[in-house]
Amino acid sequence: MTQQNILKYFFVISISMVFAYCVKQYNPPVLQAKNNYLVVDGFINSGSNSVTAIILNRTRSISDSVTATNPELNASVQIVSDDGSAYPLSETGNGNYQSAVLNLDNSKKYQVKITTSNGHKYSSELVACTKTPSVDSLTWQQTNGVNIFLFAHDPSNSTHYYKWDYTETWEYKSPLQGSFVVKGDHIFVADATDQIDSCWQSDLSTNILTGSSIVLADDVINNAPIATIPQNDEKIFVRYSILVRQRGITADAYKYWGIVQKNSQDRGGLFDLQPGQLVGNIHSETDLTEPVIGFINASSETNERLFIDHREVTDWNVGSDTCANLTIDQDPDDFSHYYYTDPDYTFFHYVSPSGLAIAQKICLDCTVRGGTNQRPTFWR
Amino acid sequence: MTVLKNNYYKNRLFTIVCLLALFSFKVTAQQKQLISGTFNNLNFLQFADAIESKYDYHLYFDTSETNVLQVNVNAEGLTIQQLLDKVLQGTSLHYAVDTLNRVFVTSRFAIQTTFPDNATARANDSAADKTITAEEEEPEQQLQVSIENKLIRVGTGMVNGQGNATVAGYIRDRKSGEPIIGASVYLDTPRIGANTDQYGYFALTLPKGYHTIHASATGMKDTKRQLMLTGNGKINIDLDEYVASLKSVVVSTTKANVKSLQMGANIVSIKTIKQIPVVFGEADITKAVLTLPGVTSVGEASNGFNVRGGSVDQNLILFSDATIYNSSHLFGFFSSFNPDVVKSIELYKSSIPEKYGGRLSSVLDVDIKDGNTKKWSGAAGIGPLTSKFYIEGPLDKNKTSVIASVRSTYSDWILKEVPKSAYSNSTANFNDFTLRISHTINAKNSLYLTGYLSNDRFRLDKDTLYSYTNKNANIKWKHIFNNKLFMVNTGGVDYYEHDISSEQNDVNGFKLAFNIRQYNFRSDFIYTPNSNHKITFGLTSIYYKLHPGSFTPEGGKSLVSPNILESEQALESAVYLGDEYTVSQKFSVNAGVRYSVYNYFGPHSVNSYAAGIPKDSTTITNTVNYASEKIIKTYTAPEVRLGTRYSLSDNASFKLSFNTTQQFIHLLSNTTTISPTDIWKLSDPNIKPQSGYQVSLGYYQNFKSNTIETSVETYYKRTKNYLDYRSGANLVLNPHIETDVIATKGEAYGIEFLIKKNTGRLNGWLSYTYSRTLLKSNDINQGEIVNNGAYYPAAFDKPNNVNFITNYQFSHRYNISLNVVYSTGRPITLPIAVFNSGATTGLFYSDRNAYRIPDYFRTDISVNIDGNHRIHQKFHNSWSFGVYNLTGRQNVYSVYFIQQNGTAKGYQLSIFGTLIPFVTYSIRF
Repeated sequence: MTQQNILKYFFVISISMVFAYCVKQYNPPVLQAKNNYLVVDGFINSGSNSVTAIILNRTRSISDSVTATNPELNASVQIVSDDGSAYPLSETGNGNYQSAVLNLDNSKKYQVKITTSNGHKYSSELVACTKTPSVDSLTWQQTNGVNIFLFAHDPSNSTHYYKWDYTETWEYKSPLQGSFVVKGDHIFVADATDQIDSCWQSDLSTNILTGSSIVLADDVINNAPIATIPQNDEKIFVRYSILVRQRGITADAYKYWGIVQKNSQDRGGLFDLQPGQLVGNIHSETDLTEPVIGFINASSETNERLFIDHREVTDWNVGSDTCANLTIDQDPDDFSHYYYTDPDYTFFHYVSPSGLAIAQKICLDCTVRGGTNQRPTFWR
Repeated sequence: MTVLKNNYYKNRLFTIVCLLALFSFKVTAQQKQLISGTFNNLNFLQFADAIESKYDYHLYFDTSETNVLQVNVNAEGLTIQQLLDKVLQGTSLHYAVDTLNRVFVTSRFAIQTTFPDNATARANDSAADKTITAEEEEPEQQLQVSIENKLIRVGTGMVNGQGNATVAGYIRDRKSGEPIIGASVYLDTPRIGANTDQYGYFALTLPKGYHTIHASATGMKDTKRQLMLTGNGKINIDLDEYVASLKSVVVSTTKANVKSLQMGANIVSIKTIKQIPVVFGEADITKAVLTLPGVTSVGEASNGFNVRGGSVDQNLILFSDATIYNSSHLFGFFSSFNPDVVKSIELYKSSIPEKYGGRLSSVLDVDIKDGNTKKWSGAAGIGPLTSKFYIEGPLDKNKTSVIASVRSTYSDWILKEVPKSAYSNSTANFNDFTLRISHTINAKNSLYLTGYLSNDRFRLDKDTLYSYTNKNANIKWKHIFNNKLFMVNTGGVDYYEHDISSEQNDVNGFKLAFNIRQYNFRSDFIYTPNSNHKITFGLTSIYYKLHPGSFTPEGGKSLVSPNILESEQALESAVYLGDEYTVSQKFSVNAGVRYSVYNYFGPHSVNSYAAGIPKDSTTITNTVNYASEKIIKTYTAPEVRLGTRYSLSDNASFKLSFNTTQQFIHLLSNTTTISPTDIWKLSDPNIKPQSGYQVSLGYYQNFKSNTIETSVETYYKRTKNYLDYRSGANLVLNPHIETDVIATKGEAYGIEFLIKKNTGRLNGWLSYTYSRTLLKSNDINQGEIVNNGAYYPAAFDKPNNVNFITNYQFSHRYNISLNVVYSTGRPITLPIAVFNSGATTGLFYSDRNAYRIPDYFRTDISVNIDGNHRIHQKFHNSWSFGVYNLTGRQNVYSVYFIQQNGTAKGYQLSIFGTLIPFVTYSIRF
């Protein structure tokens, strides 16, 4: 090795050490701890003839590999008013608790009291009832996909802060449209209850949506962005519907949900965000230092539904699935029997004189992709 | 009696032999003739005649030296010695009486310690009535002795005049002609002294008459001058470098810490900086600053530093009065100043001179050498990552000198050589250039021209290229009106820009850029009416032009739509006045005021927000577009700078200081270190200036004749309007930053211990700092109540810090340096749980900054080997070998979480995952 080479080698080694910076798992005790904090979701529905639903969950430790929800079972939950009247909620499973149909007195303040199965007591702060104005309209516009906006106003000028969530439902069709359905090893002609050509799928909003009219002279919400459907998304291949639920919330709740929204965004990379501190209005009575996640408001709920048909959007490319079908022999004496055993395939149509055309289930049976073949009652 | 070196006394051998004889007989062989009589209103000649006529004594003297004297003595049975003691009392004259009753009266030597030099005795005769500027051009050794014993007459007045006169001049390094900063010039009794300023200039006001003034400076040999001060005049003093003495590797400025009025000021000589082992063996200014008590950084490879709980943007970094916005290379691996051209650095952390303003925490004053005025010299250094070269010399001897340096990396080449690495697509390079030209027009006027340029480009295995640039230029004109008053005018331009660009994806190619330019002018005056006062006053003005962000397409096919934020303009002006008042030998006061005026002006559009609720994009009530040059908002504020010193003894003092400061420019950073994506923001109607005050108390004591310095300083600080960030703040390309920040109230306190040994084979220092920095946001109108409105630790709060820096000299050629650093890990906010709310999955975070990353600990060692030490050889070379992070500890630099599929995984990043050996070779000529 010449001296020059030695030098070069040395340089190379030192630079690689520098840039071979070391990344290790970071898992201090605080992250390994269980950190099973109570998460209270829902609101006190102060509307007339309304049911209040509260969902209780536990947080997971961030090092948990399990991502399933962690419901809090066997808790006792009740709505309590400032004059002490209590309205119990009954457990309906999976951490869901539901009240009877109630007509709460909107002049009173309410809170939620929870006693978990381990005996810990929690309560939300007493809140006044907010009367939620109705949604004036939902509109949409097609620019880089379809954007849906909400309009509302409160003539009494008292709501100011709004929270929305929605359920989207869309109809989609199997790429291959048949008129039969296979049940067991028999072929039937499909009817509305068991057809597999058209399905409806639903999704809940994953974003936190809030809006405010606080700086405006009037309590008016104009063009609040609710949802965006990317151009050529399957949701408007046939027909799409969105049900937006609206609730008036308090200024504190508005802030709270803003932080939830920011904390649910993915982070990392160059522009790290300042982590948000979540301070809700539910406290543990047993251990004052125990964090509780959730913000309980009392309000009525209004909603509005919008439909968008494929014919209304422009240049919405449905795309084409490659769905080959193949023909198999069929017993000419028993046309109603289906013997083909590959579970990925199903019957498509008859081929004369004595064959069956079959195709992949995913091409024929829309329920395979998770939707329901039952037309929703609101669908029109 | 000093030991003599034969070589230069050979030609005076005769004199020496005579004198040795004379001294040896002095005590033993005197005849006791007693003298009586009245000698009134005689000059010395008449007095001598009177003695010689009556007694068996012969007096030998030089009338030019003795005519200063007026003899008024009543003698009754005095020996000649007793009589002469009376007669010569209070003068510089010495006498000797030999066995033959010959009396030698002379001013040219001190009998007890030094030897006479009769060669220069006559020189003063002709010059007696002129102002003498003692330009010292003789060979150094000989000169050292001769000039120290020469009586230099300064001024034109009468010899026995009354009142005070001012002597002023420059203190320079004899070898290079380089002015010496912070040298002290002082009288022993009465204790009157001054320190030289950044030009090596001093002014001392003294009673007229005879004085011995001493001059000393770090790393230089002490010297003295004997003056006969008869009026205002000049004296320039050249100091010699302390070359070979092992006992004074770093010589302290005499009792500087105890005597100086400044508290919380640390001066670090470039020599010390060069001894601190650092990664890659590059002497590094920022790293040296980080070893001082009260100074921390958030991690290695982080830009900037935190002083006494201040944020990184609260430090004013001046490179010969040019403001440097990003003082590091390669994301903080190197400081951006080439140590070869740096003369000294000074960090003010508690009593900030009233001359400086605009930053809350500290001023780091980095001074450049003026260039050798006598001969050309230079140095070259080769390290594993960088090479550097500098040269200095006279363009016109003793009038114009230049110093220029260049430093560059070859890391690009190295990255390509790394076999099969992920780094072959990476680039990392930087360079910097410094130029300083100093020109002496005449004795009263000098010009200094400084230019600085640094560039960084960095891409690490991604398509994104980061780059940033500092460009600075300024010119200074120093004018001396008279010995009591001088002025320095500085005008310059400072520029900083950074950008991030990506062209990997044709369609998305972009460039995100930021820049700030400032034009500054300042005029500083120093007036020294007498030795008890040093009055400084002046004015300063900075015009800012800031482009907060532009996002533009890069590459021909890019479809990125440009987004360019409006530029910001402001003018920051200040006038100041200060006085350093020596009340008594024990007590001195430094009082200063500074009045700042800040104007923010158009063109710019400004949002107004609804009152009584947090600023938010939804609470904008109005937006006003202001025209060009229209003043949008003015902030004014007085600032107070107070410092006092009380000496308990020669070796111990107390100091107390109180300071208020204002800062009109904010750094917006969503990481804890300065990163090239950080932007600066000028105060505007919605973002108020930061302000703060600090009270600081210190006790200083030196031991073992000032070779060991110790100090304890405590401080308490409050700040207002320091910006922290709201949850999920977005700082990039945000036209309304005010909706994403929180103006906090801050509190910081701490105690700093320092023990420092300046001399000896073993030297260095040990410091321990306990400090806290807490912020509070309890006003919901600021946007967010953090941690329930309680005080929470700032992101750079690191309570315990220990620094141990030491250097041991085995011999002239070998020395070893050791560096040990410990600090508490900095605070972070951790996600501690994952929750589901409806269909939303989110992270639940702890209180802000409730947890800390693991503690930081690092040990570095280096061995420095100098070539031989012959002074007159052409080239001197030296090697430095060492290991950075000797223990290989994986210090955590940052912690981050990657969130996917409802889980989040934590990772810790260590910049230096192992120990790093280095070697550096440098050559000096």
